[in-house]
Amino acid sequence: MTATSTPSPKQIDSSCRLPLFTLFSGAAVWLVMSCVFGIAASMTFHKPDIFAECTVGTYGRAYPAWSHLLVYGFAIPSGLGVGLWLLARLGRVEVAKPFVISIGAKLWHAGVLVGLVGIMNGQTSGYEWFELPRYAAVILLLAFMLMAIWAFVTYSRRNEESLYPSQWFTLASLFWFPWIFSTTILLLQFFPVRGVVQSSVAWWFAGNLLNVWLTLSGLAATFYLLPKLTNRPLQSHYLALFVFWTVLIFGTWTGIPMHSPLPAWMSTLSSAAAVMMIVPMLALASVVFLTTIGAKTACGGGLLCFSKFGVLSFNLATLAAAIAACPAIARITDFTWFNHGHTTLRLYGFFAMTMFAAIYYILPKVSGVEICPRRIKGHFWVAMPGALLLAVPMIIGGIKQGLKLADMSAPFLDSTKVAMLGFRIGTLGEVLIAIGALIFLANVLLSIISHYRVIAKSAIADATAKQPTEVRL
Amino acid sequence: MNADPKSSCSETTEGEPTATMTPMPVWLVALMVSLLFLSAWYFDLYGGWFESKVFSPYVSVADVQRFQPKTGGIADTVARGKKLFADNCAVCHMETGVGNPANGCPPLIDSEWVKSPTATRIAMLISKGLSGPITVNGKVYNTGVMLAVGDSLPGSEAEKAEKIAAIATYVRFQFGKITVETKTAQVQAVRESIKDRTANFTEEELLKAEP
Repeated sequence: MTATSTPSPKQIDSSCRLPLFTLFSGAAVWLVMSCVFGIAASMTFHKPDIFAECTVGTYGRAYPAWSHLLVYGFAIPSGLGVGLWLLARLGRVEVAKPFVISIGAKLWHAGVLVGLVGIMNGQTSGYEWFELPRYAAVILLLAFMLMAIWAFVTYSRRNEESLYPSQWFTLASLFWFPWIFSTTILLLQFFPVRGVVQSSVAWWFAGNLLNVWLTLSGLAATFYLLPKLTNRPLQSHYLALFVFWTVLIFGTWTGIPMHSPLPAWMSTLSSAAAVMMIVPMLALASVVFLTTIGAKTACGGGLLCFSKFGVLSFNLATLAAAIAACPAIARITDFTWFNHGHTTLRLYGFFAMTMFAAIYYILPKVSGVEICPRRIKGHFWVAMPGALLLAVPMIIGGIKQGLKLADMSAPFLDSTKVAMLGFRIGTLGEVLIAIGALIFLANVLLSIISHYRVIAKSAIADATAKQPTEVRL
Repeated sequence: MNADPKSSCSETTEGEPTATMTPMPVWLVALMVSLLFLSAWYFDLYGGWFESKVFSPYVSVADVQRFQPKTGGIADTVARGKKLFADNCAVCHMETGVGNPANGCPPLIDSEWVKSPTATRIAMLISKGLSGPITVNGKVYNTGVMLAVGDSLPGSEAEKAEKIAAIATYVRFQFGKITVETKTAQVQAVRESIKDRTANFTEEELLKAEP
């Protein structure tokens, strides 16, 4: 490996430009759309017949659309984009076939759109976190493979031999998603298994998607950003390795609720795994603590804030899941809004915030145009309370709902009524998140547009500068 | 806007981040091992050891069996007899044992023929069938012919006897509330004594065999 064969960071960034622009802009648009459906679903709790005349706004379609767009529209493309940039930067190599990857990204977004139309037509698969109909699922799988293959080729062509933790996480995420997604497509949509086995497959998929894939992709970004933003080395290589293996080993068993209608060993193993997730959680907390302590960097609503809040949310959500796996507590919290609450915290608090930090970090390098720090701070101070206001009332409402459900003398309707306050506060959180998403969309689009405007300006400047010389000659 | 990629809020150093090679803290490994131990213990207590019959909140096969209805030890034979009865007898006597009086088919419920002290009569009846009228609970049923259902059961002689015993056990348990199992050996002995007979029995002959 010679110095001439290693491209400069600037060259690497510009090789990422096309796929990253496609992935990030699409992700931002889908995030805003998902918030619209989230608010629509949330309005049902204020006025149940609000969408009585409009099928697409009813809860049964708005809620699947929300989760579909949030996970497949926003989370996966942004995670992939960040991962691609990390593989290129850390490997000191230009992205292989950026054009093909951007085609894959467009195909992915088209698949998300097809899935959305399917859900709007009432063709949802009916499995939570796997709502998309099968024709859309196949498009997404193909698009992911197309992008993942070239991301892997980028990795294998790297000039830097030694690996940084972010690379393991990104690589694992490239393989994990096709595995769980294709298995689920086959077992639920092409050769459907029978009876409650369907639920176990769907829960397994949701557990792997939310607790493994999002963690892998999110922590890849966290482990890159923290040392860069605090200007300190990551503490340490072995702790990060420990987080990596424990997330893979324990995370993949999670997802099956304790009182599910499945043989006891499945839910028992799953709840034991949820408790074991405390190990990577503490390891991650140690990494973050040891890396950032004593750092002179002020947070002040900037990127470090996003990243730290992401880690905090990850820890809170993991802790809540572990607590809810204890038999005495699961009796109350199972099949209430509690579990949905900490899943929301994981999605909005951990994953989305980490991705915002990573995208705000990467995009200026790729586009060559800085994003005004004020707009980043504004986003943080809207999105952070939004995530908390959405998740925390739902967690508390879930506990109240579970206590009422366990009370034999209370009528069933009471159990839903006590959770209502949580939902109504949650609407406020949803609105704040939507405002944050709009700021994010504006930031991403302005950055991309400014990039092309700068190019156009310099082209015009070149042309006008050349003209006189030509005339003189 | 500033076209310079140098950013004041994000980038503090050039170059890629590095990780220190500080060893793993021991407490974390100790914690993982102890949590693994607790998880294994927890699984041992609640997991039912991969038994597909055990569902939460039950924890083992023994636990599940404790909650099964108690039948006094003949449950398996009764269950087998129930299936055979449904296949061979229920056409006339009905699944519920009420019979079909309009066609001369007597009920089995609380019938003295079913509740006889030994199962000799019922074994003969099932084996060779019945011709002519029969009195059940003081009412005469003008049975034409009950076929030799027992003889026409599929299988060897030993299998026929076992099946007849199961049917007799079920009928006597279900319709006569008799919780004594009819043994295959008993049926075999009865069938041995009537093995050369081809005609159906009559009411009179049956009463002679077991008054």
